[in-house]
Amino acid sequence: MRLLELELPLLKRELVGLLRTRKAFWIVLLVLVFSSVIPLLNWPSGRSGWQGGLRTLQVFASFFFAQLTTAIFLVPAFTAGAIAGERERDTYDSLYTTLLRPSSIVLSKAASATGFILLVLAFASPAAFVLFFLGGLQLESILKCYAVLTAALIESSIICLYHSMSSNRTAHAAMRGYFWVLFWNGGLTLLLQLCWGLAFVILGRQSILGSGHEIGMLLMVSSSPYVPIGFEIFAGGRTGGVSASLGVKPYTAYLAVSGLIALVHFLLLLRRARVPEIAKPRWLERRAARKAATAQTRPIRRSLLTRFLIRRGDLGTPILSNAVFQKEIKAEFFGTLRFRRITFWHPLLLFVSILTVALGSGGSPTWALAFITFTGRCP
Amino acid sequence: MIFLVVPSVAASGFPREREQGNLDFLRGTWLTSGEILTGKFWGAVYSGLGVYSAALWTLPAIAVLEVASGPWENDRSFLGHPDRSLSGLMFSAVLVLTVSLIFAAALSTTVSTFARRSLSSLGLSFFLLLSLLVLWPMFLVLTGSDGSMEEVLGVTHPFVALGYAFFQSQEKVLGYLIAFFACYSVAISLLWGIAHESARITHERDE
Repeated sequence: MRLLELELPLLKRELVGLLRTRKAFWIVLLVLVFSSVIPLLNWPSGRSGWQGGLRTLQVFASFFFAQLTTAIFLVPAFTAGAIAGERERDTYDSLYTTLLRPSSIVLSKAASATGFILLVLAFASPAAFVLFFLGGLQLESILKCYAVLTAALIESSIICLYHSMSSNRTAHAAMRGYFWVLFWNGGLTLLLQLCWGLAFVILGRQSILGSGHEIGMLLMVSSSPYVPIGFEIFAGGRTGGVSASLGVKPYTAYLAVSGLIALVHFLLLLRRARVPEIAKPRWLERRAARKAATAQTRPIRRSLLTRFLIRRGDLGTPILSNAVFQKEIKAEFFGTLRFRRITFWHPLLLFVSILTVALGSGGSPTWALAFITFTGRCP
Repeated sequence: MIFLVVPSVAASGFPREREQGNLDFLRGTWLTSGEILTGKFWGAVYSGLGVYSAALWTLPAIAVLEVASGPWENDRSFLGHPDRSLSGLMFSAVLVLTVSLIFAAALSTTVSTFARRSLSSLGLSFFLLLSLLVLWPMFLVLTGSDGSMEEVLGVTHPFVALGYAFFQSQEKVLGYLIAFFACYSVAISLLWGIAHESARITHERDE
């Protein structure tokens, strides 16, 4: 009761503030229109006839995947500004002067952001249940898909909120939020698959078979919401060897893993919220001061290409001599050596890993590479 | 990766200037709104060059390995010329990557001319790209029952266009690539026009 009393004022303020925005209205409208269009376009008609259960399953899969993807991309847009925005508006400190506990502030922010997205999903749910009348999928499977969807949303909201807490600017929080949400909702599965492929190539087939194979499969299944939804729709939740030997169904494994990730992020978030921002350890403050002092005196390190473009711009080369372009590459973060290194070496490492897996799987390198890129598995 | 990196940098182009109070300063100079827009657009393209160049470095490696692995199969030749197949494939990949980079930069810059806040701009840019890459193919798969859906996707979706370069029969690849290039050129020109008009209107309104 005490918890509710503490949380309600801020939660109400956040949720009402969000629901009154024009952005919220348009999002609800668009999601409703899109959700209604799917059953309307796929409803059996006398002229075309109905192609049976497989078609319904395809429609269900498209519906849930579209909802999941849209929700994943909407979450950072709503949660990134939750705490970083308060900092930008200089209202963050004033929140701490109220009677609200830090945990209440964090809970209210998380609940309002997640609540709105869940509300949008609830508005779209009649479309899913209309499709249920076409047959092909049990009610239990639809509910399991919604459970996975909700878990993915809660996990993504808490991850974004954590990055909002760690960032001083909303734009930075949004970028970090998008990166980590995509990583935890699909990127990790791709990375695991890539590691699997590399282990296959480097260590050989025998080394990765056996119990390690099943645990690896379970990790892949439980690290992305798309996989359990796909299994639930097309295979009725069965995963063959994995379920049989480990006794875990994909959606149960996903709920457990996403719950764990969300819990860890939430605890980290609470820890950050409880520690006042002014009371950092002395060594940390000293390090920050040292870093700030060197940042002021140290010249910006730019890549070779940036320096070349600046020089050509100074010489009056068309396009490159544009004053705004010159300002962008001289002053903004994407002109720095660090950004160039990150955006060049990380993708290159990824591409080379994919190429290695492609080569190890035999056959023509280009064909194997294309197969892996477009199907996500080794030929 | 281009579709992730470019919007996250370019979508906040104009709102960032507005939030930091630099936009009024920029308008106070002799620069026209077109020049400001051009600068922002090339800045956006430049932000994605890291990923783009990583892909370009990988392509020659694939080509070398492909040549070393043996003769190119006839059924995967490009334009009916077995000796040009690999160069054709490389050309297709470079074309799709370049068009995707310029399109992502144009879309993000255009959205940033409308939005007042970085977060809205970022969210809208990602949503529009998501619509193109995920929702549009899903919509076509759900509605299209005949073969026309594949053709539309091959022309409008960069991943499918790239996939066709790998898997489609040689006669169709050039047609798809030309149509893809034309479609995206029109889209980029349209976005450029919208961005230019939006920047001009905002400039005049603020004055």
